[in-house]
Amino acid sequence: MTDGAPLSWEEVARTHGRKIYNFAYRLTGNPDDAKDLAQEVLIRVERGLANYTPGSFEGWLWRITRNAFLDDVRRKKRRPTTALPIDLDRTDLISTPPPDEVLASIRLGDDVQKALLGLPYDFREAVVLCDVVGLSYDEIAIAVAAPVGTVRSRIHRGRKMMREALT
Amino acid sequence: MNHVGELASAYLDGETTPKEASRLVAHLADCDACQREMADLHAARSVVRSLPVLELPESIRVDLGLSPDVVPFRSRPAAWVGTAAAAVMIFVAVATAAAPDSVGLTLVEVSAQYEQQALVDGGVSPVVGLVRAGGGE
Repeated sequence: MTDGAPLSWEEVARTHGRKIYNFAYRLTGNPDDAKDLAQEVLIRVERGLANYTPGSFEGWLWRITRNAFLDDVRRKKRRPTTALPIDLDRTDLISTPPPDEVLASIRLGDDVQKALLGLPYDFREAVVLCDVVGLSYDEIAIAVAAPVGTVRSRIHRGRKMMREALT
Repeated sequence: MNHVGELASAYLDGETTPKEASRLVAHLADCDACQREMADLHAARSVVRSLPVLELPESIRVDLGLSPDVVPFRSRPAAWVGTAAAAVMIFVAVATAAAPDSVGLTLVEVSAQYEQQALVDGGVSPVVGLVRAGGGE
């Protein structure tokens, strides 16, 4: 999205809703929490758009998303650390009886999700924003209010821990 | 030069300066340990990037009155594609040829499987194609 372009909430929700949900899901490992968080973020975006000043839209959006997540964690006084069991009936994952390779893929995805949930929060957040959402390091730095060098370090250390966890 | 360290991940993401990238590639040519680290990091990066993309739950779309999302999930291609891909291909080829057992087989297999799915979904990553090719030989 072009920085500084007029934004409507519908446009933001339509173009970013799925990314917000995927971010939330990979951060929490829990579809119910992810759904609640995505809704909360979209409500905050609707409120915040009136005060949005042209700049890094992605940084702004993901800062809102991150803050909503952290508020939720504080409210519930828990930090999600476990993945849910795989539910092969999930219609958002598959819509037809899965062939063997799809089943294998889902199991592998569960391993990767568990490894993500095993990362310290700052590392998990940086890895998810980079590799799931697809933000640049500059955008992540704005989103998490940290220097780019810190973002670089967190992504690197997070990947090393992922590699160790999956070996 | 010191070992590649954090530069390795940044390079995979296209987040190094041209000068940093040149230094890194030159170092990789002479350092087996960094070649292995680079392959490990690439595998870890690939499995996360290849996780299935979940659709926004129908209930949210209905509640908010949204039509189905038809926007591509990832609109930002890897910045290094086209600029540093050749250098990456060289180091991966060297890494897989010189040290075929240096990468955990399981993780590479996982990486290859996910990457195959990502390619089907429109993802871009020429590097894993080489890792997969190297691992299959």
